[in-house]
Amino acid sequence: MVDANGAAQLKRKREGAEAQRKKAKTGKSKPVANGTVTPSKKSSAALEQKSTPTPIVTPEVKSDRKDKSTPKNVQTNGTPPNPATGTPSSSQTKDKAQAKARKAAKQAAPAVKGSVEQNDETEDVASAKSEGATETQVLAAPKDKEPKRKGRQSDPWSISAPQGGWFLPQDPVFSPDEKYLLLGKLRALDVYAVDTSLLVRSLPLSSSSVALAYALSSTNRDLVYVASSAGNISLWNWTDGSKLGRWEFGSNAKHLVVVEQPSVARDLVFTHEEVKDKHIVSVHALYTGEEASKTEVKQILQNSRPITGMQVLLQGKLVVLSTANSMIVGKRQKRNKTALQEFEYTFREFEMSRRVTTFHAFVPMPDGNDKALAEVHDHLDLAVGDDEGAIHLFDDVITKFVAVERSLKEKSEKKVGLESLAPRRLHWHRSAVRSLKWSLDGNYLISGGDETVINIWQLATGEQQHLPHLTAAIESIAISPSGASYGVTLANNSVIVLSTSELSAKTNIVGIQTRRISAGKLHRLTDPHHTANYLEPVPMDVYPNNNNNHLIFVTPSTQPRHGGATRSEPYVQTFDIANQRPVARQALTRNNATDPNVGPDGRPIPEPSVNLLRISHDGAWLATVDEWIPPAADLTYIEEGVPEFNAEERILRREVYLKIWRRDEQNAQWILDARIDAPHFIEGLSAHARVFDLISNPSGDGFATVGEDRVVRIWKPKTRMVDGVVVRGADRMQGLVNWTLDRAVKLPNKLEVDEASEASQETIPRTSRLAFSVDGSVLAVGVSWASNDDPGVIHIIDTEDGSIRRSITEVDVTVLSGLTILGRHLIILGSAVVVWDMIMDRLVYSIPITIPGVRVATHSQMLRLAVNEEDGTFAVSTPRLVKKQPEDEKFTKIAAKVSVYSPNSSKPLWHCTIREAVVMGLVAAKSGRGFIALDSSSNIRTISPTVATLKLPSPPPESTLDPTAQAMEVVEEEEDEEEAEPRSTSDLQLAESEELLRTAENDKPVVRPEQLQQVFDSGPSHALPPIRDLFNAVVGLYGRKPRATAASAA
Amino acid sequence: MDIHRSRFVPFPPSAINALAFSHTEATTGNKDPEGLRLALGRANGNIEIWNPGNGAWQQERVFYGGKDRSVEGLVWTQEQDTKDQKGSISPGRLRLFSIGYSNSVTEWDLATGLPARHSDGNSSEVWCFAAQPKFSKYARNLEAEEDASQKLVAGCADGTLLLLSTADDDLRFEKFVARSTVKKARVLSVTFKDRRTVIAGFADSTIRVYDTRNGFVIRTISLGNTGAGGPRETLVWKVKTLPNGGFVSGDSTGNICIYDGKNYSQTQRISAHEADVLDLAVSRDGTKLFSGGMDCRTSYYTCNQRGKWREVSHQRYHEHDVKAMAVYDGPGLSAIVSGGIDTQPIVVPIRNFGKELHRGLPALPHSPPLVSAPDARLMVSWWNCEVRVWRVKAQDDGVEKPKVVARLALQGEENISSVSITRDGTLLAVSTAREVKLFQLLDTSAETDSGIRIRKLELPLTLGARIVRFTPDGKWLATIDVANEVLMTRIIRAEDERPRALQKISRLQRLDRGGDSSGALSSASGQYSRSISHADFSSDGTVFAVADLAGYVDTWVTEGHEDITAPEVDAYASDAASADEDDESEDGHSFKERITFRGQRWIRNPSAHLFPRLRCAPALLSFEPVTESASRPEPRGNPAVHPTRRNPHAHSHEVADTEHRLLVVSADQQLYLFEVLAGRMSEWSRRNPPSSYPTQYRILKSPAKGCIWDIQHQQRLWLYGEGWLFMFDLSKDLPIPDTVEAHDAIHGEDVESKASKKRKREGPRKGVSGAGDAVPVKDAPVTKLRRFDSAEDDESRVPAQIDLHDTQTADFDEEFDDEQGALVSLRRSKEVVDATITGDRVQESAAEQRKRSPEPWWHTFQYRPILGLVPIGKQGQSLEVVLVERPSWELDLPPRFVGAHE
Repeated sequence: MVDANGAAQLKRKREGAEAQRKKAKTGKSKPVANGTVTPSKKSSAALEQKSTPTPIVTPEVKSDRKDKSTPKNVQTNGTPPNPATGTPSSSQTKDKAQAKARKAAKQAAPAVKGSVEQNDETEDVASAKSEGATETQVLAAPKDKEPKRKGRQSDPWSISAPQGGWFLPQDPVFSPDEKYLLLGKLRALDVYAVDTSLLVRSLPLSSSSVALAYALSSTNRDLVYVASSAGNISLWNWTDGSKLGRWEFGSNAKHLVVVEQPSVARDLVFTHEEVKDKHIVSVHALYTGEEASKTEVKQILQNSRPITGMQVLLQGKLVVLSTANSMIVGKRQKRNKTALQEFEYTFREFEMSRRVTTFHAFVPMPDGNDKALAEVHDHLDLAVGDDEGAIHLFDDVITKFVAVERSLKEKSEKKVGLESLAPRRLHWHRSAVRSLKWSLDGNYLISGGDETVINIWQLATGEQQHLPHLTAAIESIAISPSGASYGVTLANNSVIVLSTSELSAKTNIVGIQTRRISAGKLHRLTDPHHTANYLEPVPMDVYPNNNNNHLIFVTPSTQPRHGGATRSEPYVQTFDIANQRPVARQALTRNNATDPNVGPDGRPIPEPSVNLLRISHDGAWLATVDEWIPPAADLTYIEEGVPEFNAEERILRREVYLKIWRRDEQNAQWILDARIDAPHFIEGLSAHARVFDLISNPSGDGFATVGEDRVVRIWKPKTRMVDGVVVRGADRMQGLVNWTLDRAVKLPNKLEVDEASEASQETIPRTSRLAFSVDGSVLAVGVSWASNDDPGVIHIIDTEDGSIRRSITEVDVTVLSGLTILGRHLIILGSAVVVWDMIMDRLVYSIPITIPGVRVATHSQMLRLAVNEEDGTFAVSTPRLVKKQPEDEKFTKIAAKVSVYSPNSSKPLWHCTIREAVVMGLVAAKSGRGFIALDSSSNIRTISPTVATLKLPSPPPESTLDPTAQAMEVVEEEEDEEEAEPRSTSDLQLAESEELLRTAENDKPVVRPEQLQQVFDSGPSHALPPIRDLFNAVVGLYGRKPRATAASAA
Repeated sequence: MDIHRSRFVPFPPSAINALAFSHTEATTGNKDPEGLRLALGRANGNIEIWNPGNGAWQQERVFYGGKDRSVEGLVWTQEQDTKDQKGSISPGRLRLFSIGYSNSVTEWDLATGLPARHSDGNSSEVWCFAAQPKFSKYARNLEAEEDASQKLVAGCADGTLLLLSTADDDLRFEKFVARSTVKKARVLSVTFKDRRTVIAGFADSTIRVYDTRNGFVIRTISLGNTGAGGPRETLVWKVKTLPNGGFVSGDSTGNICIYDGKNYSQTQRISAHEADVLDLAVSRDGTKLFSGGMDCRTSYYTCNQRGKWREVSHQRYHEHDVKAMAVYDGPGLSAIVSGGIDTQPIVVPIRNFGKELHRGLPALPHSPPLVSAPDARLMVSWWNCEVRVWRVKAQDDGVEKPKVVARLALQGEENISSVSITRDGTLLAVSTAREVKLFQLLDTSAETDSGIRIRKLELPLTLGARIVRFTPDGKWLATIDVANEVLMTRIIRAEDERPRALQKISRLQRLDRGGDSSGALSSASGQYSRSISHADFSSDGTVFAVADLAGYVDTWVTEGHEDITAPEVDAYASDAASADEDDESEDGHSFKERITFRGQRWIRNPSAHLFPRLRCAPALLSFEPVTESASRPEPRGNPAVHPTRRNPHAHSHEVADTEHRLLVVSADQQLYLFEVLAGRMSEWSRRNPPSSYPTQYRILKSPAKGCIWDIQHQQRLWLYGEGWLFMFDLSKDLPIPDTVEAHDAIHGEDVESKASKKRKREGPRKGVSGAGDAVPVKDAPVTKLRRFDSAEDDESRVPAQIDLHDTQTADFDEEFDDEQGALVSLRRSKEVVDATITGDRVQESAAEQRKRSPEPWWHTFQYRPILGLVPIGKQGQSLEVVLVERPSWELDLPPRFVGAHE
């Protein structure tokens, strides 16, 4: 009945549909062609004439290249969202900014030696291909600042600074007292407390470049050197967050090692830089302040092969370097001369037949007083890990090298060949050794790799100790200065600190673990053979009960940087936006955390992957859909040489489960309440069908799914009754609930539209999307058919009786990637953003989206759509891929553009660009305005109306009353200002160097909610400090003087 | 060629239980001792003697054991060297001892391959034994000269230690070193620390040190127990002394412990094995140590200057327990050999560890335990004391598997040493060390599917034999007995009666080659080197050839033709004066019996003395079959030979004049093709020296095991070894690799390119320590080393790299090859000139032709390991062979204790 109805309606509407679709299509293509014409009038029928005031297809969509300042748009739209921001204030800031700029220009000249001019720096930034370099896009040429400034203040929306992000692939650095752990990210250097695993301080590095390497100073352990992609090294005091100096080198230091200069208590900084395919190792003596002129550099090695690792021992007497397949051991020639220019090294390079993945060198110390140090025999023990999992242990390499060389030179009778090096071979790891460290006494070797096992080798006896079942592959291991703990970086963006004695975790620092797409992968999108399944959106949702604080998204178990098979995503992580930290992680499917994760054939055992995730409107339920397909290799025995058989078998063996989880507030986790096997199934094959979409009913309990079988199923809870009595659980007052199928609506086959062919062939749609109306009475289903010439259809279903009320064929949804209902409007995201008025049943507007050089299917995977009921806006994220030449293989620029629209106007209310990333997930903030975007480098940003920023959920006060925390407040504030500006203004001129900003005066201290939160500790009320202290702290925040000090230290 | 590739022959694997080198180090100078041999004892009681000379690893002899006579331990001793009148030192005689699951120690006679004597004594089972270090005149503690012989110490199951004296070429019980203890803990391992101190490892987790002179316990070392959950006692499976006086133990916990030699304290303990350590091997300088254990691993340890040991690496060379290891670390050969349940000996280099690869020696017997009766399509295989006869159907009959048509289990417990069958499959001879048996197979026609009846026939032979051979027609049976006597037995076969062997046996004499009876390996009963290892008849049964380990080939021919009218046996004593008996070697014997069988008798090949001695031991001996077209019809009987009164034993002196070609392949893979009656090398052999052999053939490791002749339509020789199958077309010459001289003469190239040319011709680099090839660069951990200063940058750096294999490795045989190459090219070109006097042009065209025609050789490594390859199918049809493989994964090995799941 339902089907017949739908079909009839479809037929009726077909004539009109053609016309409208045509229009939508032309609307898509024409503006692209000339950019100015609004073509609708000429081509459209009278129908639209009377219904809409000319659907506006704005050329603004592709306005990235120029900035026709947003305020104009706002005015033309006639809906200025924020009339309060008038001109006076903006002009005021403008003046100030100009003053600032002038001042900065003056200061820039006598600043640090080698400091680059501003413009150059900007260009550097632009050219720096830095992974995850994300910021609000600079929309204008760097020179003209005025229009920008104006626009900034009136900008109705803003995007926050990124939260999360991945830790740098470098060994974690312990503070000397082992109380803190310094972890670098691309944009910041985070200081975590080892005791509490909490972020103590974040040193915001430059926003225009990314950090590459960092190292503690060897003379003053409060200082840390940071190398950035802008080609400079800066010196920070991490205990108070002040920046002490900066040196420009013009080349990016990839590795940084700091040692103490012999006989002078100064730091020597060893760097590895890449300059035009040359890899240079040089040693720097860096001076600040008045002595800045004494800064000197000595190049000690130039190599054409990339250097992958560097270690410096014995105050620079020995330098150990690794390249892809060789090790280089350098020894300083004149030991007594300590002047930098006399650092001459003799290098010995030996090639290994396997790829060197990691190494660590060790020099046994005879009871390390300084005298002994000077006379220590160059007994260098070298452990090298290779990509086959073997560890080669060379002891006393230098002596052996000398013996080999001497025997060759003297042609002595007893020949000493290379085999005399005869490394010890420790082979336990099955795949490449990722990290390797000597214990401080040299008796043990600690190694880790993709097996998620830390292996401790006792070298004298050959005994091994294993610490298995870490949560993810091991990326790097660091040993604390006293040797009491190991810092281990795992491939799921987390760092743990283990005590060496009982191997228990003391600290667990977790970042956002979502799917990361490396820059290289993004740049290769054009590859036609590439199945870019990693571009699928990351399922995520906002937890509604917690003031938008908690975001829940799906994460893979491990993501080794060195690649490997694409992993499935069985976990869900909850992230607290306000506190900027993940709060929970839970497995939703079976996983191999404690099971063997590698089959006997050496291939990883795949886990099911959670493809869809929704939280019910009240936050009490979570619905997930996970899918598992046996790997093709496991079915080769059955395929008889025909790959199609294999594919068929895999479909037959596919497992799809719909799981409904109940929120357990007490333990803050989800408890599985119901598992529905094969929520959709292919009848003929009795195989599990894929589920295309899952949504929750916004007005009541219940979820709806649509699958390959073209059936929409609505799942609802039903209180369990026995003989009319509600069955209650042991722990709950409410009755137990059964989740049952409430209604199934079979969607008509596409061929049924056509009367002529009565073929009853089942067609499997390419994809399908669902959308509920706010009251839950209407369900919209969009179907894209498998063939490209079939435009697809959108059905409007009445959830009351399950009938299809309307089938919209007027809109081209060949590749559908998003569908939502916003009030009376249906918003369709496919090859165009289409807004359809459901009540008037007409097209409101359509904005085409095109990306040259990417297949439509790939393209549609990268589009995201979110709708916010609160303020009636929706956000669309589109990728921006730029090639230099159309025939180029790779993209030169990758960015994601997020635009916020209102259904009434085709001009975006606001848009911004996230560079070097793709938006992986976009959701609307629940019970509030704005959106939350997750990008491919695991950064979370909130997009919110500027007025709403103040309304940002004030988190429960949380912080330690660490003595240093108090001191740091003041410091942070100052950085906040420079942070806050780029954050709240979309078009801040980033060319301004930080020094400039730093010296600028400020009227008012800006107090961020986080700072307040730190004052009001999140602990229970009885544990709060005296009210007097609290008051003082708050006053200290608001009443402090604006700072303009200390910044000129550089 | 039709190949039946088959794996059905259930040749049972026999674990390696014991390994011992005859010497542990070079005694004189920079050369490995001449008599260096490896004894390998197997679970089926066989002892194999391997000659590792020049890395050839030739399995020279097999001393066959018997049922339930597993060899559990082997020890060599050597008598004192003697100085003869000229002052030259002849090495002392080597003696080989073994233990089994019995209470005696057995000495083996190396020449006969039979047990020479057993130790007396009524102790319990001997579990381990060891030989005293050799007496050294330069040792500080001078002992009495009469004590110079090496004593043996044997550890028994009840905990006693026996001291056995080997003096006076005897084996006697001397005294108890230790009486059995209360606990009766087994002695699992024993070794001499020096000539008067014995270290023994017991099953009760102790090591005890005894003074052999008085039996005092010098020290008891306890290894402690293994902790809760494990077995109560640690078994000390092996103790070994180090050259510095310390010693090492390997035990059931998988640990090896190193002890100080002075105060007997443990200095180090290394856990390198997941399960029991079963054997240890120490290099001569005491800085390298190998251990093998039940986890299939072979671990390698080194010791630094401070005496600290460390495990360098471990590897699984074996697929099952490593039970035994033997070490020889000399100036040339420097390798350990390990063996275990997976039956394959593995050679690992010591000196060049890391520079050379390990190498697996053939696990299957060198002489294939397979014979066939092609005409009857029967194949015979044997092992231990069982014989199985299979019928192989033609391949076009479908895929029917060969069927067992007869089984034969010999009475007694001796292992079979050799089996022979006639071409028509009617007669079968089986020999053991104790006896030779002759069987008649009835109903052998290929059509019937039924089994075969076997009838035993009488043989006049009383002793056992090492080799038995039938002539293809079954008229003669040659047996080589344990004392290397060649015996010929005439078998009369008539249509209507049973075959019967004539009672009279003809003894054939080998040429006396003089020789050195004083060799280290010879024993009272003969010389080891003169042991006959191969014997064969020509296809028409008129020529018989044997080859011995020294490389001598002896041939005999029949004189006269078969004459049914002649008496079956006509024996008479010939006097030496007999005019036409020109065998000078028999001059010494004044009196000799001459036997003529039906007008035929065997005489030494007149040109036998012309045969050269091979450069090394032969690996294969085979006659090229005489094609029917070549052999002319024989006259019936011996016309014009009648006994007269004057000459009652008249017989024909006619010797078949068809040339027979004999192929001998030596252990160094050289092919010798002799023309027997002419007593010279064949033309092919002369024109194709080893330097012209294809590289793929020259780099082969395992020696040739056998060959198949395909001479029906072409002249093809199929040679096979354990892992390879090679075809040579004997009608064509092998292409000569361009010799350097020739090249230089033409192009006048400089020396450098010459060197590079040489390098190209080499295949994989051969190792020098007797183990495998040099480690390929991609497997070596470190491949190159270079040194530069920081001032230099990439471009200016001198490429002074040190490679893993520096270029100075001498090319040993290269010069020799080149020299020969010139000779060969001369020989070949001369022939061409002889044939066609037109000269250059023809030569060119010949060269062109050679280029165009396919290579006269072909090879495959597809089949491995090959147990044997025998022809099947009637003569005249295209060649059809059965190739039997015994892949290691098909071996029926007992379950592993460790890693059984892998």
